[in-house]
Amino acid sequence: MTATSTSQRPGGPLEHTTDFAIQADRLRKTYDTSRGPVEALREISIGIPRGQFTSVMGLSGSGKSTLVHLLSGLDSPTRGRVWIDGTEITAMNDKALSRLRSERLGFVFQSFNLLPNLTVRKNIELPMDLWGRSPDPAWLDHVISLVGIGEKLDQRAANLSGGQRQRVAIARALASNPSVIVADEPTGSLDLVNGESVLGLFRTLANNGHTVLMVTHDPQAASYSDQVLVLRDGQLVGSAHSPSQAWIRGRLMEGANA
Amino acid sequence: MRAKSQLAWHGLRGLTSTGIAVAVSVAYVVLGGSLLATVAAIAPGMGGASMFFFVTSAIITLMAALAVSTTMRASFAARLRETGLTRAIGASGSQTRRMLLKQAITIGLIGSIIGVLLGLGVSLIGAGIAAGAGTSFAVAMPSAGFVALAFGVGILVTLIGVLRPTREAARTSPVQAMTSAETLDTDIPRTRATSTTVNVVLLITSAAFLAISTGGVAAMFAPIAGILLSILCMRTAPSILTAIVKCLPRSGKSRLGLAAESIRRLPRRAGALFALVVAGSATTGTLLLLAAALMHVEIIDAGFIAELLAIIMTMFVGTLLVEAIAFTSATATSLKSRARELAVLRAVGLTRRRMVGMLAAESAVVAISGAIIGSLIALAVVGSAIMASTMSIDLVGLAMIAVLVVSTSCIAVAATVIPAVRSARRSPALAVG
Repeated sequence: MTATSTSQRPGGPLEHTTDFAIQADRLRKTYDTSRGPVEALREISIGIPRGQFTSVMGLSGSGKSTLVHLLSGLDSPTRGRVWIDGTEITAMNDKALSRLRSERLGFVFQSFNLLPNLTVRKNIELPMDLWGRSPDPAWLDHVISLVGIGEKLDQRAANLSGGQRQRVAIARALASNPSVIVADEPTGSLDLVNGESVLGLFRTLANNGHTVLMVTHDPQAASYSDQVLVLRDGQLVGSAHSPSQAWIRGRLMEGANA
Repeated sequence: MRAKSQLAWHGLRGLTSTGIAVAVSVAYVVLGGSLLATVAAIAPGMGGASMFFFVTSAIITLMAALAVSTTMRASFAARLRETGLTRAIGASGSQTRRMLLKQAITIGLIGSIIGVLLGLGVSLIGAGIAAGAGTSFAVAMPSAGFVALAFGVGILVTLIGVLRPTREAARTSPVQAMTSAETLDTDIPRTRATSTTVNVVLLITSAAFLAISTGGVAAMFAPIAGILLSILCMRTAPSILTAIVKCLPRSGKSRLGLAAESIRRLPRRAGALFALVVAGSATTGTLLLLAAALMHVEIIDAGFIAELLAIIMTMFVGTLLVEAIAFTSATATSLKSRARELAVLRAVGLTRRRMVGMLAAESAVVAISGAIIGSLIALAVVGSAIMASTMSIDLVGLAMIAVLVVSTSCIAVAATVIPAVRSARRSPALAVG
């Protein structure tokens, strides 16, 4: 275990290197609520290493989901900049950003978010279909066999079990062969066996060169990843390569009782 | 606020489109009363015409009951989890049903009051315009009895419309609240009333009624045929829409293709709005055609025709206004229940502009096809009712129908774009978490 703090550099802007699939420079996110502004992220600069499996951890309200939404272009920061594959997404218009989400990113959510009235195949093809394209057949076959849903292709998504739905969601995320897979609590709605198989899939993807960015609050799930980032109160409080569960617990709980 | 009343308030807000359906029907009846009183003052001998107006009001009432039922079922379907959850934490089926009934009746009362005010307001504006234009007669206000009748109609419509949806919702199993991990993509529950036999009987009966309703007292059968045809359209709305959409392009590239895909996916959701447009166009179309035909009743001078046209147009504009309100509200409710689905589409690559375009195209498809089918029903009803008389459907009537179809479609699209733009502005992250 090597705990480092080098990936947070609040001082100056980051230099772009191709080692990072995603980079963020001094990200801030403030939500306006009826009780005044709430700071979800205070100032975070990080780089998500290419071809690795990175977990973002934190307790509820730590800003971990907000961070990942900003890093993946689902939401825009109040301040700060984000680059994906060296392209600044914070300067992009909606059309370019939507296209980037469809081509370079794949999303997996806790509640699967499949369209239940579509067949499995249609669900998988949806992101590319929105832009009038269709997946490369050889790649699609590979993805389908990788997640193991070959027999379910013509069933409606509504008829699948939770584990099967998440596999379809992963296949949907992979259909355009994106460079980055973003997963928000992907095992939160799954049992132990299905959860472990989903995490195993992410591990395989990272080993094959995909960048995987996962939000989780489960130290067990985080143990599948190469790098763990820990957030508390909207700030990065630690990052480590293959940390022990004790280290993660320590970082998570620090200051929780203060 | 107590938790229970807070829940009830939340429920009331979800029933906005139901309230508007009630208000529309009540306003229609009040407007009908105004037109009836005006026509009676101009041409006292036209008893047959007044009977016709009463029957038209009956059609409106029945259609509104169906619209209430449809919108309410849509709203309850969107709240399935919440209902299941209240059942799970200890509310009995009858308690749940009472709660929903109370909400429905409150919305019916509010809708009826608004409907009366709307109807009276439009009549007053019509009267003002007629007086300002210096017509030889006054636009009459509906009698107090008629207003009371309209209010009663609103309550009746609510009561008829609410029975089935509340029973269905109260039967929700608590387990559904626990197991449905997603509220994504909720379609209205499938009706048991999909029997083909009933549909065929409806079609044959209405065809027979149209065939025998050739003038005189027999003309009464024509509006009944209109009711039956409209009921048939409402029952088969999802299938009709699916058939129409099959003729459209299906690629995700075009907005129309996206819209077609979305309607195909959830035909019952689109069917609810479609049924509203069919009902509205059939009744408005019938009134317009009838008014146009009435001009041929006696030897009438050109000035009178112009004045009558002015009244009709005022009422027509009022009706469109009411329809616009109904459409905006129905779309806003539908978009709220679709927030998640739309967020997913945005997350996987749909741009804001294309999302708004897709929603507008959806509304356009639903409104244009609904308005055309409703107009065809109106043409059939009026055509057969006046066949043996000296009246006829002339170019003025057909032009009015064309205006009806075009304006209904424009209003539907405009009413969609405003809530759609607002919904597109939300970040996709908010709804998918």
